[in-house]
Amino acid sequence: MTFVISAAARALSRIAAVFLLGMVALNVADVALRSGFNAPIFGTYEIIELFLAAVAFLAIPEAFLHDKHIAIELIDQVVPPWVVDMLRVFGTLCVLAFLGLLTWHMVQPALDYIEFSEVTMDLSIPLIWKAGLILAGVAVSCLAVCVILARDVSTLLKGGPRP
Amino acid sequence: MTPQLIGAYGMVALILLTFLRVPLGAAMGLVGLVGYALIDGWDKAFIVFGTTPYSLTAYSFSVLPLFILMGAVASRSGMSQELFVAANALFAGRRGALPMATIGACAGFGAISGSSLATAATFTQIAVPEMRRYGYDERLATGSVAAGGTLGILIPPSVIMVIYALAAEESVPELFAAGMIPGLLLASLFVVTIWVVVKLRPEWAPPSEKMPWNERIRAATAMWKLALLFGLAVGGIYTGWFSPTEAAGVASFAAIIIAFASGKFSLNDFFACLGETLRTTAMLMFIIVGAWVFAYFVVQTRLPVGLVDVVRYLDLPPTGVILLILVFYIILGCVLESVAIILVTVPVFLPLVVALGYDPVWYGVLMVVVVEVGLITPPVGLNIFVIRAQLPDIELGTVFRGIVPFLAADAVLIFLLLVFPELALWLPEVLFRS
Repeated sequence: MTFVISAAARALSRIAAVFLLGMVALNVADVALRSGFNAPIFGTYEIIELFLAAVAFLAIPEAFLHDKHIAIELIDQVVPPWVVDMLRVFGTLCVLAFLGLLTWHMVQPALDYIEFSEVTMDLSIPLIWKAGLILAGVAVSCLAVCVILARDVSTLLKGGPRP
Repeated sequence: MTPQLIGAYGMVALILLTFLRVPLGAAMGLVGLVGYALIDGWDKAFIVFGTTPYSLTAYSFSVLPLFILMGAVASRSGMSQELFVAANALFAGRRGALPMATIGACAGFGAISGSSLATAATFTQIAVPEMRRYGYDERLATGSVAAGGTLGILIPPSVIMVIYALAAEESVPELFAAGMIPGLLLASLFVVTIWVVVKLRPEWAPPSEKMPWNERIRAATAMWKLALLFGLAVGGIYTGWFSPTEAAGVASFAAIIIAFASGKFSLNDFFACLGETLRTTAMLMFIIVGAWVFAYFVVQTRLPVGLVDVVRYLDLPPTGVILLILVFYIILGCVLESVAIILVTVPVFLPLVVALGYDPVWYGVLMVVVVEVGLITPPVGLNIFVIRAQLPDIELGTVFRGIVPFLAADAVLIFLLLVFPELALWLPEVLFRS
């Protein structure tokens, strides 16, 4: 299970990397065409926003798996290691609660985008495309946090190696 | 329970969760959700909660990953080493030349990387071993790197400034312009600090060898890469050629081309930069989602309005209020991370500061300077821990003692910004407002 979720997170990160390069390329092309030929790419803003959704949200699961989130670890210096392990589990549970609630409550707005066929103003890009990317990133993040929770609980119970 | 009391409890809950190691994004998001629900009911709270991530992909946010990418490529492609050599050539012949060069190189590199931690990490590897080799005191060596690292978030383009601009709904170009003079002034103050320290403790810095002018000029020309990136990123915005996002896109593209052309940057380095950029952006976005939910809650509590009322009731002078806020920030900066400080406090304090008649752009610069101080003060002082992590043989106390003189320079800059707000506001006025 861990392997599958890690692989999914890695795959999403790779897709995000393609979109990141796309953002760079689109900006450069737009500036070049506007400056050189007075012919900017129509709807660049909307495409960039779509790409940003992928860049910012599809990489969140892998960021979690790499322990990239910011937490204040000040308490580590004043409490014994087993308390730190307990707090780590508590922190991960909070993240899971946050992401779980977020995923659940993001579904309805996404369904609304489909039901009302909402599109962007210039290029008529369906808003569900962007919402789908964001929802996918947050939902897989939930699974990634489950992996971290299992690891943290195992560390707490067995006193395994600390991440 | 009144909304303002719920707001106060929310603040306490946030601080408590943060100290219990709950990741910042989740702590802010959960407190924001529960607090909002207590004021307006769960149904409305869940609607706001569920739609927040969809509202965070506005075009203005796209500047973040692009500037982060540019910084990552500049860090990995050896530009920092060349900059250090060039800055050293500039100060060669003076006692304390290497720490001064470190400050100069940190200012230049920090401008491109936009990150204090990246700047401190990079120059810990480059400058500290060199200073140790020449017999510099470890306090001066590590202190100059830790302090120099903080220049990265003040001199544009700065990721922290972008985050402030997004949170405060202010103009990124104006904030970049506002940070320029204070950033250069702080770099100069750091150099003066080193000069004074070396005068008082000459045994901390050995005499430096003089360098012929032709060699100095040759070394200085190595700075062209960073100068070009800075010109594209910041010059392009100031001249009106690019929007901040376009400037970031073009500059990151130029950084990639220059890096590959230098021959010191492999395809693996490139993929590592992409991964680093994505993880940093994702981590920031996770915090921003939580911070936005929290900000909606703060607005519902009418806490900022309450603060304005309290200040009016107490009849405090505006400068007194700003000083109180600064003291609060310095305390907060000792225990919280800079992104969190900005995202948590902007919705609370900015309305008060604006109501007192201060410019939000000026306040942004002041806030960044104070947050910088937090990066080098115990017990959190992230820059110091970055140095310590790379040089475990140096005592933490040594680094903290080395920092003390530089804190005086920070205090001077804060004083100057309070007395002469034009230091921050003159350039935005000339470039964008007149």
